[in-house]
Amino acid sequence: MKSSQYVHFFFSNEPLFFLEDLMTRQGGLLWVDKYRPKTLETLDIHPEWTEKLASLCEQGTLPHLLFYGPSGVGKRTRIYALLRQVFGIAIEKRQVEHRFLKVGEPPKEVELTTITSAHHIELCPADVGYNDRLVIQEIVKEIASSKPIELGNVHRGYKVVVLHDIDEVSKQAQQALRRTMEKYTSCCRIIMSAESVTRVMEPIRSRCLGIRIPCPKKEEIEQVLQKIAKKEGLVLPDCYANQLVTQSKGNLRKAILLLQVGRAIAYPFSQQQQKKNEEEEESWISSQETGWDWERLCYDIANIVIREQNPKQLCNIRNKLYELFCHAIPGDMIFRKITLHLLRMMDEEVAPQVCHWAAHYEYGMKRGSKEIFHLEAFLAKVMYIYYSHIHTQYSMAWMDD
Amino acid sequence: MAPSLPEELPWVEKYRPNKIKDLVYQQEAAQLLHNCLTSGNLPHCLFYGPPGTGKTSAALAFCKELFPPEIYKDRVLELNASDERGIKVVREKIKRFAQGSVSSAQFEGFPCPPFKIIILDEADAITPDAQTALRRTMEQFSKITRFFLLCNYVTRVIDPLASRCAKFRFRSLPMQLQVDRLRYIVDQEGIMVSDDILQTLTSCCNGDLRRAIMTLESAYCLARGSNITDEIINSVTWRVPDHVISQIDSNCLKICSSGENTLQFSELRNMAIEFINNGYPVSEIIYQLCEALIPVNHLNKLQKSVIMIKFAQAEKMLIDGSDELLVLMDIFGVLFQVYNEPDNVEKLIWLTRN
Ligand SMILES: Nc1ncnc2c1ncn2[C@@H]1O[C@H](COP(=O)(O)OP(=O)(O)O)[C@@H](O)[C@H]1O
Ligand SMILES: [Mg+2]
Repeated sequence: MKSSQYVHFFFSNEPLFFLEDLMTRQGGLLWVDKYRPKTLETLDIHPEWTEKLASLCEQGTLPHLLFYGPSGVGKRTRIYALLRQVFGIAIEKRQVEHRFLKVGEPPKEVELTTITSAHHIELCPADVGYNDRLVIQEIVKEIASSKPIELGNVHRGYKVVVLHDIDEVSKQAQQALRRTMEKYTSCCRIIMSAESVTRVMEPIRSRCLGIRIPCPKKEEIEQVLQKIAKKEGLVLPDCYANQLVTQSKGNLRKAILLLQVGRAIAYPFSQQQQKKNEEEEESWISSQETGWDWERLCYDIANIVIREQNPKQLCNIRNKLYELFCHAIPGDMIFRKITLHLLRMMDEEVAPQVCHWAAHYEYGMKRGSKEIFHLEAFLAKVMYIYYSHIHTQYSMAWMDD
Repeated sequence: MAPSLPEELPWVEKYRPNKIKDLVYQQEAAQLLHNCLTSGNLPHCLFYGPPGTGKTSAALAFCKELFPPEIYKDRVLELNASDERGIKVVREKIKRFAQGSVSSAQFEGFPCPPFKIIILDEADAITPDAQTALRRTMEQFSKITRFFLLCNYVTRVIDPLASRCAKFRFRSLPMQLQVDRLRYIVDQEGIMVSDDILQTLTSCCNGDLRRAIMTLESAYCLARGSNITDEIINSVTWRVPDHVISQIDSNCLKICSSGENTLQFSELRNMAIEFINNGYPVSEIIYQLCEALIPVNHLNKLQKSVIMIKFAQAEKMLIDGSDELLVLMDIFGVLFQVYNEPDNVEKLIWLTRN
């Protein structure tokens, strides 16, 4: 749904094309979906929240909720599990609908995808671009005007609207949510998810209970991987599992995807212990065929900057950047990745400067329109800084602007 | 709308003041509204102030005391940021609402003055163009309508509009009054909560009473009838735990005291990555770090100034959508240099470049 979260998993990587191919042949599912825990009790990570969420459901009044934390830590899964706890099995009868919604005055038609059950509706408002405000209003009003359904012994006075990636919606849409959240509390609850709460405005935060979901611990990821391996009847040596965990950087979804890719192209898994320091590990991982293509490109770019600082290499880098854009990798992910590689490879003295310029140019990129200009400017700047650093004994590079 | 089940209402709504006299603290506004209840004279009003200080509540409570439910819909129009508020729509809607004549029917116990009220909530989110249009509308119907404009930032309401209103500033509620209000709520609910806990609760809500009530209810739910503990409060507030914040300062100190040859920026870098992985909001980190660093003795004035300027710049970048990790590392980069070279005036000043 959100580009930065899914694009690189589903569209841009050969290993995954391979995987899809495999799936169609075997008629299988992605393991991330197949082994998604359905209830609160079966959630593997963050046991502290599991219990708390269960007690929230016991009370008559569920507050508005905002789940936040990095990508791939299980926010969506947790939201489903919570709904399951509140509404029971009925929530699992979900329907994906592609709809055309008439919004605004004068009315215009907006195309969007929603997932609905008898008790909830879920959507990703940022998908509809600048119409997000109208769509949210329309959906909430729609829900509020339809009576909550009684099913068996489940009686709740409200329905739930799930809004994914609320940090990606426009400021106007967030403004609009403020009073809506108060006005319709009697018949509907809003559950949101966000990667960065910084971009969720204060008045919205103060209207809901925030649930911070941190990255799972390494052991937790490893446990999940082992569990899946067991269910699939695989032998997963500890050292291989370890590599996957390191490579996933706390992103559970990525770890599971990697395991499935590994199953497809590198099974049986190698037993060899490959202990290296962080730097070597990083380059080793980047050279692996199971790695994502775009990550390897970012690594290469950082490497070029460190090795040689001249216009020719800048051209070389430009080609690689274009390749990244062809893969539809969002600019901020490229920025992050390259900066982290650079910081790891460079002398510590210049690191604060690199951080400064990374933030500086990324900010420019967010406000500008051509991502490549800002990335190139950043890399040229770093080349210059690094060049001055290694060629002057008493580095005064900080004085240059 | 579906039938509302009162017992299902969250506390924030359940304990929204229904009468002007229930409003806590905002005396000036309360006084004016109260006078109006008896005299029937009302200017246009502009309420401004931070979230959760009672602006919406005051306006709604006032209208409810003025008009009985039977004619409430005819007399009060509430428009907020969720409604379509383009120029045309605002004018049309208000026109339609204002046009109907005011019946002179009287109701026992309600003053029912002969005008209609239009509440524009979140007025600072209306575009300047629409605000200009509004100004004419306001004049056009001034005989039979009164406007309540509610907003957080008075500067975002255009001057011609603001100058037509009596302005009231809603101030953040003092700690003690918040605690009292929370105490009232827990008493009504029949729950035992110690004063200390209420104190802790309010201290992490920046004077936003809505947030305090919200937090209290969540904490109560999570505690499942047993005592609310600090740990529970920590997990339901938006604040970053204090030990995380103090870790930043202590790490910077450790690094700069370890001697010049062992620069260890990588430690700060890893800390930044860890914070992001833990999902701590960087805006909140900046805010709390600012609070924490102002009183310390181990930084001189110049150092502190440089850090604060950096915070201001970083906050702006975040609001404009910059990547959180990069901004945090940038901040740490500056902290690193500021801690390391406390007396290098030239360099410290240079660090505040934009
Ligand atoms: N001055 C106050 N007196 C009593 N309750 C208040 C006051 N300010 C805020 N509250 C509580 O906080 C909630 C939100 O207040 P509201 O009026 O909506 O704030 P805003 O100023 O953001 O419009 C109310 O439901 C009420 O419970
Ligand atoms: Mg309000």
